[in-house]
Amino acid sequence: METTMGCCEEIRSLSTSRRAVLLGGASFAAWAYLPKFARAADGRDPRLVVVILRGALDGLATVAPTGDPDYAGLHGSIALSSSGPNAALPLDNFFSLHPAMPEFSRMYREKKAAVIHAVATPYRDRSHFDGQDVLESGFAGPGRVQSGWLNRALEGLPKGERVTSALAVGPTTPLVLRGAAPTVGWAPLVLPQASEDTAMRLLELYQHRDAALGSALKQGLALDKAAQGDDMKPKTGAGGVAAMRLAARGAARLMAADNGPRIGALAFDGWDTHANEGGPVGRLAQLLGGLDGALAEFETGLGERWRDTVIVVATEFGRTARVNGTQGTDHGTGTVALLAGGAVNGGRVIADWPGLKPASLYQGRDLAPTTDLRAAMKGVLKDQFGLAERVLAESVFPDSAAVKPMQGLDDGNRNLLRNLIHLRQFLRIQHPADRPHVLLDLFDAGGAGDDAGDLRAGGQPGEGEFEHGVAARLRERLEFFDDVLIACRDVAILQHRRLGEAGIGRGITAAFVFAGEKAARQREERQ
Amino acid sequence: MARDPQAALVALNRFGFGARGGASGDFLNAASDPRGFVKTELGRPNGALLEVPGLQSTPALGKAVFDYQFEIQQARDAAARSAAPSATGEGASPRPAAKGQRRNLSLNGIAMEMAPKEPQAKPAENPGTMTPAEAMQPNAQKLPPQPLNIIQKTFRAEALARLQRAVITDCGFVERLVLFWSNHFCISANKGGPARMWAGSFEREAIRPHVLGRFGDMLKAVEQHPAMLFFLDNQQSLGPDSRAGKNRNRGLNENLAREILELHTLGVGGGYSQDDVTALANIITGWTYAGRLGQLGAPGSFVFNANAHQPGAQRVMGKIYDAETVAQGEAVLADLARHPSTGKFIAIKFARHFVSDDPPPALVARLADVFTKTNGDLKALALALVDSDEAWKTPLTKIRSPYEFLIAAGRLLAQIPNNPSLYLGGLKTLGQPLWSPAGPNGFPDSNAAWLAPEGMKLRLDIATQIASKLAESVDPRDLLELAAADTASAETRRTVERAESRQQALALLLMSPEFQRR
Repeated sequence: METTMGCCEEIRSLSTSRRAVLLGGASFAAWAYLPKFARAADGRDPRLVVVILRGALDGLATVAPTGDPDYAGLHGSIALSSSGPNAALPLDNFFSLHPAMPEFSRMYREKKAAVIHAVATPYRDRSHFDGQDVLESGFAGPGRVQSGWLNRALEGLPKGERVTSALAVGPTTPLVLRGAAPTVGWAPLVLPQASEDTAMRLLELYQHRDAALGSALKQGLALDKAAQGDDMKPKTGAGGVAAMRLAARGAARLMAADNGPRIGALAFDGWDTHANEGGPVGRLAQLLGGLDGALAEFETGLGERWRDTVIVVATEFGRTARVNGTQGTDHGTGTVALLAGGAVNGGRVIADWPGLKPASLYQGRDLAPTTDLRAAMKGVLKDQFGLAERVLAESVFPDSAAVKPMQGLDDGNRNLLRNLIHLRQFLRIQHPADRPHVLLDLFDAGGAGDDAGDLRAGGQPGEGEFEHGVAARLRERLEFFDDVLIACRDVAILQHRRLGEAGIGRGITAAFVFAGEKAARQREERQ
Repeated sequence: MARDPQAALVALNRFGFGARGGASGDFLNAASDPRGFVKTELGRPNGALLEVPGLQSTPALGKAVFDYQFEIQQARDAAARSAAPSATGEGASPRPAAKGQRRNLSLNGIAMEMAPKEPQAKPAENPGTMTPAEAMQPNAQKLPPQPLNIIQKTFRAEALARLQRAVITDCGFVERLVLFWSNHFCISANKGGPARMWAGSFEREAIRPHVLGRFGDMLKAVEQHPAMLFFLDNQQSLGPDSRAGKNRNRGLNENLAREILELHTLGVGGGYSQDDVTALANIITGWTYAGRLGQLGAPGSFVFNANAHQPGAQRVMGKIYDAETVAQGEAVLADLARHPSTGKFIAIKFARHFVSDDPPPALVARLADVFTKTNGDLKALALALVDSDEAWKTPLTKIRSPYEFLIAAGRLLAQIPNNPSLYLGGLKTLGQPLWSPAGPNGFPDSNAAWLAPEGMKLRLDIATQIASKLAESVDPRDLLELAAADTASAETRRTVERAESRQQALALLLMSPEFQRR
């Protein structure tokens, strides 16, 4: 126990000093321990990945209710259709998937992916910051919270063996995974540039307030674009679509290791599609393509472990059902959450569909939320890791006793909803006045649930190798970075070329360079 | 309590390094008494000094760097000797080995050689399989970590002390003055080992004690500092007729003399000629520092080497200087410090730095007047600026230099650095590597230089990177309040509030005109 404490201390102090180092791309953070929850009984060794989409995903564009008679009219020019060129990919006779997501579509057909629709956190206002706080903190309302629900869930698990120590650095640990349970971060070697969206917002501000700054920035962006060739795709988020794949690839390899972390979180930016959101192709399509690629990277990279994996993709809130005046959508409420992974009891859209009639829309503008996202998260945590309902209701998602874990999300749980179910149809019959989180209890078929007795004792072959072989060397590298990290343009260009060869690089003129330390060192030394 | 938010912005940004985050209350304090907020720092005795445990004097650092370089040289010689016998003639085979050897004879390579060997192979290393981490970072180079040498360690410690001071200091006006004078009398760490070693101690010893003192004292301290003597080659300059000059058949190097006249005092067009440059170069021959063996004095300390000094009287700017010692040069410096051209040159540079690229002529004239009348009292000069109406009424049109930008960001985000890497890297990327300007004229000080297209794009990327690191723990809406309060434009406010994430909001805030202009 004392050793454990010592390790925690070490992790914290290290991560603090690492904060001084800049590098970027999408971030990934994971738990530093190998939990002792691998289940001897069924031989499962579960993995959980939480992907946060920052900016509010348009759920109606991602999984379009093409069977809803009001959808096409509301979503207007960017609405997806179930036939014709660039047709959406049918999920069932009501919902269709955005055509930029063929991998998710395949997983869905293989029953390894599911959609939860008309879902939302308990947050009902429309601020990104507050919405993300609620999504990630797990609290019922906004407020300054220093820990996330996933971290508090970890605290509820037996620690097991420590698998990594200060593995690597990342820009930040997403709030969802921040807290007392020690975590480690990693970020791909993609050197982050400002996204096009950020640049456009800034240009607009400059246009109103500071023409000289605007003109300089505009030229700078144009130069940058010219230098990179004009066939480039629009950049998104920190590092763009390629960064999503890259982050996922790295995270998957880490988590695939026998003694790699079992639980991780990623955050992708760029989903705030107020203007020119695009339909089957366009800005959102690019982003969804990146997300789709990231899911595929997890499937490939996790190898055998994919079988025991659940990936949850969630966003702070949805977007308006009606397209706005700039071919985009504004901040809304209900949206989708996606589940993917071999452990998902998939091939279904789980939705208590509220409909898109004007009267059904939340405040006359948004898809009404009918499912509490916490119910889904609870269901996953319960199924994957056997967290007790009491823990889920008190510490993981405080004050959420009324929100029951969704049942049967987990394929290992022998409990079903195997076929497409529009919950409302059931619920209407059984308990029309209520909301699904209460009634979902009806489906509880007694899974592994709260039973801690089936937790396998720790100690797997090969443990410790990672710690000694890799982590230690990485730590050395990191200390080295701390000491000689130097950003310089000439090295950055070299790096750019390398990344370019690897098919991921563009826009890496301003760079904090890691792989270039040799050149940087020579530079220092020349003095 | 009077409250003047616009003046607060001037106090914080034009004179200082920007508002600090956390509970500093900087904006409110500045708003209640803008001039007082700025002036308070000027009243603190020794407020400009930077005395941090572990930072050493120039002679101590000099000794360390000389010894280090000597060891390197010895190791290099030894390596060359041991390589020589194996070269059995001019055959092709030994050559590549010798070449390889030479390539390793870098400072660090040798430092590595000298360092105790670390156990090479880590346990549990399986060469057959790629570890996840390796697989993730295909571009990662497998360099063994090398220990920092004494020069790098010193530079980083000096940098860290300066950065920390800038981030925590109240208003930052005194630090801004240090920055101004340090850039006026710049050296470049890129000149070589001693310059890098001394970059921080030069500023601590030659600049800081005089930032609120006399220009003439600063001038003398600068020109006699080993870092400056090394940077502008004066330790190599020998009087042609001096004993050393005759013995070694070497002579004058005008570098330092020219820059004293052109950059440090009179300025281009300040009325000096080539003859004045040559005469001053002769006068300061013998101004050098003691070397490793300490034959002339304590290693790394300023010494006047009479053996290298050009004998005889010299005429500079029409005046004859006939002292035969170090006093000859000191007399010239004292006169140069008092010269009207110097006052004008300093005044316009000062106003240009703090007020605008094209400062009000009346302000410049007043500053020059103060400079001359007070015999170069730099505190009086600073007060004259703070007391001028122009400094408070001229719109904030200058863009923050990269250093000012990064420091302002660190202050607002309340990030006291415990490692200089982030700043050193950012400064390099943005074209203002710490203590390393491209030439003796220092970093540029105009919008034309820093408000360039490429620079703005890089600045946005850096802002994005900072935000990606730090935004999670802050609320950008609160930070905008702390940084600009009521002066924030509706557009900026809206842009920050509507950002799609904290990261984006913080990046936009850091790039907003309110944060970029000073």
